[in-house]
Amino acid sequence: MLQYLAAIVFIDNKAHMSAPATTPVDETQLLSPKWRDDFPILSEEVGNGRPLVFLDNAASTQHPRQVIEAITGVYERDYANVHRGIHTLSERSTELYEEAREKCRTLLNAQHFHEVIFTSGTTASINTVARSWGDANVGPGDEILVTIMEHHSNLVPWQQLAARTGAVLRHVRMTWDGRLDMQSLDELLTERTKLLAVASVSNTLGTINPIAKIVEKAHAVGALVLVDAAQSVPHMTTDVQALDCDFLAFSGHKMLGPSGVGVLYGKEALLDAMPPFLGGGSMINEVQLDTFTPAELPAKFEAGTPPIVPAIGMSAAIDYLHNVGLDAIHRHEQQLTRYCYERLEDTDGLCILGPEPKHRAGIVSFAFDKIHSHEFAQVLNDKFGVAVRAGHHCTQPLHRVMGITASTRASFYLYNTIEEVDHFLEGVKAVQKMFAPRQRTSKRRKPDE
Amino acid sequence: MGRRRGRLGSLASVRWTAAACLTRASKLAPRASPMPSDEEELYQDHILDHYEDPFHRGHLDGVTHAHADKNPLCGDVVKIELQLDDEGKIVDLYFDGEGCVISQASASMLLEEMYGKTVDDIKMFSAEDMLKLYGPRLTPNRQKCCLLSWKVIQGAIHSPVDGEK
Ligand SMILES: Cc1ncc(COP(=O)(O)O)c(C=O)c1O
Repeated sequence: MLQYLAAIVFIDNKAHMSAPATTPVDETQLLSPKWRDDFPILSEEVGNGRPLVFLDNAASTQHPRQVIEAITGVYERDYANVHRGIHTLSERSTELYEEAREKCRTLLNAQHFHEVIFTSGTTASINTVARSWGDANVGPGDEILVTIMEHHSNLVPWQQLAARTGAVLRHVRMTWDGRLDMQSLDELLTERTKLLAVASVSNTLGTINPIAKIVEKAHAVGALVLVDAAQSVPHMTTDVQALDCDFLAFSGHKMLGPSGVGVLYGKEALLDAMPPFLGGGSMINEVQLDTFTPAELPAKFEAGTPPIVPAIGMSAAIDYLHNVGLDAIHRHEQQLTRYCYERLEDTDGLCILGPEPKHRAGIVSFAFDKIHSHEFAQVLNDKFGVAVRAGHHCTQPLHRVMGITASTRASFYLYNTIEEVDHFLEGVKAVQKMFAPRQRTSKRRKPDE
Repeated sequence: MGRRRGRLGSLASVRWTAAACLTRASKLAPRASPMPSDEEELYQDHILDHYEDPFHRGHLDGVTHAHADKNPLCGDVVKIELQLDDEGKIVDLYFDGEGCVISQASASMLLEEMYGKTVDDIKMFSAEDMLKLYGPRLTPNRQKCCLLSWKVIQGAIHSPVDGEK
């Protein structure tokens, strides 16, 4: 499979080389650049006075003033621990914290308020399910299904679960162009499958996976579905009831919010039946010296002091996203992505990872046959002020399957512009030129050579 | 004498001791330096020269000591083979690997520097010396690329290959 995919990836590049047709940008689909004014960091200069072009949004996003002010506002006026005191500040903090939960419920269109569990992020959400639901429901011979395009945080917890329980981990393949192979999914889904863990959007390929269809197939054999929605919730409308997924995870820091907070959504009946994972304060109803009874949802899964201020910051971020409009954000990113994709794809020796623009979100990763991604990231930063990600983006197995160790990734958000994409493309060309072989003949050889 | 070889071949068979090396490097690595100062060119001509036309890249036939390691963050790989005599003198040395310009050029520079020297010279050669040898100031993340070959050569002197004492 390794050679197969690696070969195809590079052939794909050649196949496209003769047809560098570009689609004109649909200006009506672009967001107004006025939103940029809300982001103080976007006027920063990096590397000797170059204006920052931030294209590392899949790793983490920047913060509008509204979020920063919400955070400082709590600290200046309302901060205390939640659910503990009967004093004014504790009540204010608790109210803001629970209001954040309601915002998340609306964002996901979850049926119930208490189906939203605050965690420290996507990784913690997935681990909670693997530990709590997994340990209670998975046994020897059972199968857990993941896909080869998963982020390490939606792969390692399942490897650990399999090791603990004797379950078998199976991997859904992808098609030659980096989409989920539905035939492979059909083959692997059996009555032995207990759970399918899948990303809604691949953080490396940008592929948008057809979650509703996947859930339907999984449910048909009685398997549950966990959606790693870290790369979709911030960029498009999500409706967990329409998707009918059983669990869904995302992080605040990828959607204009602070780091340290994320959400685990789970269907009420499942969360109710699951044992608590972390033990401690808040998650209990009553504690005896030898025993405890767990609290009701959602507290049952929120042991200890939760990420109070990050959750309130995320709440402001959700307001902001609703204000801009998630559908509008998606359309804007589609324009940027297509623009970037079509101009990169006719570059000699360059291979874009993943499918055509119509199947992808605002992420474009590429590999060069001769130039390491480090060089791109370094020169783009130092000479162009462009921040991109270089490396494996926490998807080592996916890179290995494609026959590469690293790639360069540009990822967009609502504040990025066509001009910024142009600047990035100009940088890519410059890097190519800079590292082109120059038939150097060595002046350094030792006398014995 | 060594024979030159383009790409990475038998690296997979070499023992990885990444964890041990990483702890050591983090202890030895100098304090993080600030961002490269005004326009300091990371990719100076002599560095690109080492990258494109490296010193002693390939395989060494009379190898007595060898070690390989990778930088798990970015997939840079370096393997170094040494031929040491009984007095601890470096008779010859070769490297092979794959990765970014900094990781490969620094390996070439290190080998050129150590050619004809002794095991003691390798031991005395600190992480700071390595960064100085490379030249342009590097951010902490890129220092890892530069120090990979340095870690590998430090490991190699303690790693006799099978059949050697
Ligand atoms: C698809 C995907 N899943 C999971 C994660 C992990 O998120 P976090 O680091 O916030 O837990 C990320 C981001 O790094 C991601 O892109």
